[in-house]
Amino acid sequence: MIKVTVDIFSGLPNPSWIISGDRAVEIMKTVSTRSEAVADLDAGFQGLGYRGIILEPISDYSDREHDFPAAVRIGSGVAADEPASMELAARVLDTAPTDETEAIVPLDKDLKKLIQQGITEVSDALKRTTVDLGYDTESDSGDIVAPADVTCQIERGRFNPDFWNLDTQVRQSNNCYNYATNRKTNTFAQPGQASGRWPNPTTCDGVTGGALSDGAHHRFECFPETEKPRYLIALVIRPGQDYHWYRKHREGFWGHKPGHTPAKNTDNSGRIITDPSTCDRGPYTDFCGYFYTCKSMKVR
Amino acid sequence: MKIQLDVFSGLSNPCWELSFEQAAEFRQLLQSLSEFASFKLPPDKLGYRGMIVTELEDAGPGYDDIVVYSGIVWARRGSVTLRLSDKGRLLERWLLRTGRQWIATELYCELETEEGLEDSSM
Repeated sequence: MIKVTVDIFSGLPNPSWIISGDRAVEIMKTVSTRSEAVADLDAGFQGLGYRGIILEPISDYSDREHDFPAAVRIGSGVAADEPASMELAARVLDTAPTDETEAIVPLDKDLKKLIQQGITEVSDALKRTTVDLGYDTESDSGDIVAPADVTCQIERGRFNPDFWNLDTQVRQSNNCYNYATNRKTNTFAQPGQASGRWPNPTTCDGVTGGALSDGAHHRFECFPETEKPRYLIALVIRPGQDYHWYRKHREGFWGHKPGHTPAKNTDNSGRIITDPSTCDRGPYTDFCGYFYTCKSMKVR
Repeated sequence: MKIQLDVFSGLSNPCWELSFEQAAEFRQLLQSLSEFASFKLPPDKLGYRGMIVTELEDAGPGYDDIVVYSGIVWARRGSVTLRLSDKGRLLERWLLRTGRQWIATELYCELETEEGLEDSSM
């Protein structure tokens, strides 16, 4: 048996399943006879996004004719014979169970399709991806002080400032709205611009109207499961002049990106932001409230 | 030369260009500044973060951009950043004045009073 792991996530467990029987033997043969099609486990792109497929034998094949290393990486763009590696990766992907209960961690069918469409381009495509992959789900039922009547399911992504900060062009072309909605558009996105409701007055009502028009919801107006990821965000206003957004993270604090400056999780006093309604926001004195983003939200 | 008043988070910052004469004066002002030993980084807070000068042409030895804030000038060339002292925030005040017609009155007044950038020459 061979354990297959699609190395793609940072926070979430990677999709994984077991290949057994004749298919496992066939793949073992390919790997052992075509070493140029595989790369070392630690070779290739190690950043965010797709990093290849890892094959690990979990049965003892040492008494067979196959010479299989402890683990190898395929489809990662660094094998000596990359076309062969890609072809092997495509074959391995085809073995992903269609019945999710048969996988250790299921491979999302959309993600599988994306990888299948062009494994050679996946690494670059995912590096260019407009969203930061990886989130978990929690219940949002208000806080201890003001519990709500309804409970919505929301997602919280891990705090990943490098996604916004490492590339100077990305950092300078994306603002707080890009960060809050987790959409790297490189357009210094404006609430309402994608949905034809822009510009808006720089008031709570004006900016809220733009965001709702783009597809956001007020907090506790729940989105269905199909709209994952549904992030909790907060809007504040510098009255008459500007607006600013925050997004809640898995770690419990809030992240934000003031204009073209780096994404971070601290306020103007250098403190970790645990509550955007009370943190030091400088001249952004008006707290407008909380909202949910969703998958179908338009941002530009 | 392009000047950006770095102050907003969601909206785009106010921007304007220096005239030929203003660019010449900027070069003179920049050349008069002395180096400054500091590890301070340009601000990344909400609110006013200084003036950013880009498209520097022949101002200084090939700088990519310059940030002027609260008495310090960060002049970046590639991965190297030179720090210069802007005593009395003279360069910063001068840059702000060049943008008078491009900055909303309310914001301009706030910068003068709350950020201490009132025109000291008057």
